[in-house]
Amino acid sequence: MRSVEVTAPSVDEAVSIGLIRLGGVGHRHVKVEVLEDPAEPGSAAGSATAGRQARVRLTLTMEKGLAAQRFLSRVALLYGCRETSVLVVREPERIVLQLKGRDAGELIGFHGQTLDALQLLTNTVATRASGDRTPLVIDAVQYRERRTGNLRRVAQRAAEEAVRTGRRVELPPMPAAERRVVHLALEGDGRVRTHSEGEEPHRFVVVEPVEEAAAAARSDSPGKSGGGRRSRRRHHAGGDAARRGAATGS
Amino acid sequence: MRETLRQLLEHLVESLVEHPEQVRIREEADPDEKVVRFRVRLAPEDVGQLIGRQGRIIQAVRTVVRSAAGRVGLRAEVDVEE
Repeated sequence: MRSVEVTAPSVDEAVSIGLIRLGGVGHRHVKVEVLEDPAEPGSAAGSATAGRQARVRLTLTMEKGLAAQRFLSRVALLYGCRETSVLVVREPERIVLQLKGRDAGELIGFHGQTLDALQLLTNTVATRASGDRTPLVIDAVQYRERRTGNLRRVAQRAAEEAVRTGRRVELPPMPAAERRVVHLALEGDGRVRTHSEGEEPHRFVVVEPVEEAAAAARSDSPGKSGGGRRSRRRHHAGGDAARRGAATGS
Repeated sequence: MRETLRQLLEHLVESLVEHPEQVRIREEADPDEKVVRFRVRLAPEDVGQLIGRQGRIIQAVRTVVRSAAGRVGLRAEVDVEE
């Protein structure tokens, strides 16, 4: 949790300085510990050095959703979004921040990149301000909701193709949260198995028919060493798969 | 426009470090007038925190600032002095 220690001539002054250093928060959002108080005789006994100073420690104890909202509202403003507001929805296991309004869509970015970056930063800032590790999700004009629907359809199509062709299907690279949606979407489909390959940020999901593994084991034939014999297919879902993996021998 | 970008970067960086009062952001000249180049200086003990594990935090800061710059036809670069 974020805290600061301040030294000043009096306790009041030290607290005021501390509140500013913590980003201009109000008194009710911090816990104050007085470490040394010059007005109190006998404290820090013996340190009768001229001009004793007050020393306080301020620790942020802001509610996580509120800390996130404060941070994100200012980002939206400086980003140039007009008439955009941040709505906090507190669910049992997560906090959702919804960006609403005229320019909110501009915070999504290419393939949700900007939104993901904002989510990481807001999580970092708000966790430090609150000490609360509840996951925090940022959405703008229902982008994540829509994207989840799309990903499920992409996963379904990939599964159909894998079963039909008997071959593995590679999906385009996507962030961890989106790969998770794909894994979960196909979890109950006994015909295929999924896993991820590659390094971040180019990690991608592979959908394999269950038969393939079985068939490969049965016909323990040449081609086993190379691995290049097995044709790999790429499934164009979002369209950005094109540059990936020159090694897969197109 | 550049001033707003600087303020955006300042807000992000100051929110992420332990010593916001020591954050200094300087804009460097670039031959290309469409490029805004920011240099961030902070308390030495805050450098690691701003960069984050595998550079994830500073990358996210760059993504947000670049995307804001893109909206107004600029390109932004952010460097942290170590």
